[in-house]
Amino acid sequence: MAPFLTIGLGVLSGVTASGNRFSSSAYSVMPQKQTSTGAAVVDFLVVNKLGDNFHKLHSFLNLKNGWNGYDGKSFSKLTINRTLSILKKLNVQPKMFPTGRGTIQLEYHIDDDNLVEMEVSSTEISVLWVIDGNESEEEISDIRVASKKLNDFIS
Amino acid sequence: MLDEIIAEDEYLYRGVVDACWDEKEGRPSSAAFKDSKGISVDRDGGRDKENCVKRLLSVKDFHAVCRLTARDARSCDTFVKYLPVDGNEYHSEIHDSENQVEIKSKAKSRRLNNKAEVVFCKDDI
Repeated sequence: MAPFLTIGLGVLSGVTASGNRFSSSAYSVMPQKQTSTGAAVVDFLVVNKLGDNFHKLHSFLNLKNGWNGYDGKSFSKLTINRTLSILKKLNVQPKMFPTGRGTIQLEYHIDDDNLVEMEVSSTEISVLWVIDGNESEEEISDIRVASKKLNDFIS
Repeated sequence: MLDEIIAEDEYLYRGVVDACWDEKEGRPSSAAFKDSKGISVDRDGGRDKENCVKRLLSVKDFHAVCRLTARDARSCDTFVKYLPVDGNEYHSEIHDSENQVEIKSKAKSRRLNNKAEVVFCKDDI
C-alpha cells in the first residue's frame, strides 16, 4: 500500500498497514502532508507509527463533558493536535490517558522509581519525573523540547 | 445526616472509566485522579464495600472502582471535604488543600493513585 493517500471528494477510508480500518469522517484531525501538486494527503507513515495511540487520540474528541462519570471536561482540537505533534516525534509510543481536566497524559513507566507522566493541554505541558525514586515537576513550553526529553528518557 | 468530619478510617470510593484504566498494570492511571475541580469520591458513610460499589455502578458503567481511606488521602497532603449533593448524600471531594480545590501537583495525584485499592474490576467478572 502506498504510504500516502490523496484526499478526494467525500469520505476518505482506508486500511492502515496494521490492518485497522478507518474513515476520515471519524477523524477531524488527521496527519497530513502536501504533495508537489499541493494536494493534501494523509500521512500513513504517521498513522502507522502511532499505532493504537492514533485511534485512541481521536477517540478523545468524542468524549463529552462528564465523560468520566464526574465533571470530566471535553478535549479541544488544539490539545489533540499538540499531543499528536509530540507523539509523531517519539521513538517509542507511550501509554496515553485522558484526564478529567481536559488534558492528555503520556506515560513511560519503567518501574515505580523510574517513570515520567507528561500532561498536555492546549496551553501548557507539565511533567512529573521520577528518576531513581526522586520526584520532580517541570513545565515545558516547547513541543520539540518535550518530545526530545521523552525520547532521552526512554532511550 | 452524616458527620461533617470524615473519619480517618472511612473509605473514599471512586469509579474509573475504561479510558483511564491501565490494562498492562491492572490499575487506574494517575490520570483518573486529575480534575479541574476536586476529585469527587463517595465516602462510605457506614456502608459496606458491596453497597458502595453498587451505588457507583448504578450511576455509570465504570470499568473499575477503587477506594482509599481518608487517612491515606490526607497522608498525600490533600484535604478531604464532605460535600453532599442532590441525589448523593455520600458525595465528597479530595482537594489540594483547605484553600485550594484543584490538585495541580502531579506527584499528589500519583500518590493518591498508588494508595488506591481496586475493589471492583470488570476484568475479574
